[in-house]
Amino acid sequence: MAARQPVDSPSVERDERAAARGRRHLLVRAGDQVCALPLASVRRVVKALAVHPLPGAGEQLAGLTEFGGEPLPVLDLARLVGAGPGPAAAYPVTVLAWAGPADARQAVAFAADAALEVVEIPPGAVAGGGAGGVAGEANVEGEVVRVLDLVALARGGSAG
Amino acid sequence: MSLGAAGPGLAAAALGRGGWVVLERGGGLWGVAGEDVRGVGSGAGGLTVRLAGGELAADRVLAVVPELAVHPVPEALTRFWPEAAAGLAVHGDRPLVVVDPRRPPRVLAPQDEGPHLAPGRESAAAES
Repeated sequence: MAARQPVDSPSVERDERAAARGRRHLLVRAGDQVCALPLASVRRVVKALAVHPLPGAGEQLAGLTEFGGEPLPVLDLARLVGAGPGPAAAYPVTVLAWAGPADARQAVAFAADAALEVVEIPPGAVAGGGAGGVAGEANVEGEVVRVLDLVALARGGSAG
Repeated sequence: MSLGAAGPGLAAAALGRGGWVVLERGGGLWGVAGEDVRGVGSGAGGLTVRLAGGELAADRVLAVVPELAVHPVPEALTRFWPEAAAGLAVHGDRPLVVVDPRRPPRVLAPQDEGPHLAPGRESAAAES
């Protein structure tokens, strides 16, 4: 049985802050679509890192890169979400993020066109199922964005 | 110890010892544990690195290094890359895949044609 707590208790405030953090997403342009990455999983946004292709990789995997002495896979965000080509010929931005659950997080990077802004997306606003790390879609100020599920992205299984 | 680009002689330095042999193949870097290397030879298509259980093809041996900080292979990689690997690491400023000698990636498979380890061309052999 859950214990009742006054709404102004520190633990409730902490829960609310944690929930708010969970709702915050970074909007990133990838091709002709906008994606939303959970902000708590975003480590850094940097100018495009050098990507070294990996022979035999699927089209979603751009290759490998290095950041701060750490090797990590670079995913082509546009291909990951099935976006069409955008105006940029090459992805000028790399988004460094954590994938997987908090207790087993894995470093990953996304090649993208631009980091746009931080918005709040409540869990109930995400509609439709996704695959390959996409939780679904949400409407943000009239624009449909693809919401990523970075925990699912690091689950086992081949994307084919 | 990073000795720069060289051929079989460089890799031979790692035979029977610890450390790692850093290979270049298909535009990527690959790390092989020195203790797994049994011999290195040159052929028409580049180098052949002989392991206990098979052979690897390489364009060149980039370096032999005493240590690599090996990171686990993230699921986000295996999801989109249908090969096995023992880990990821960095050599210089370039990422590399640490080869699982039992299941090397196809890009490291020796070509069917041409010599692999022609007699007399082996630079070293650690098998006894």
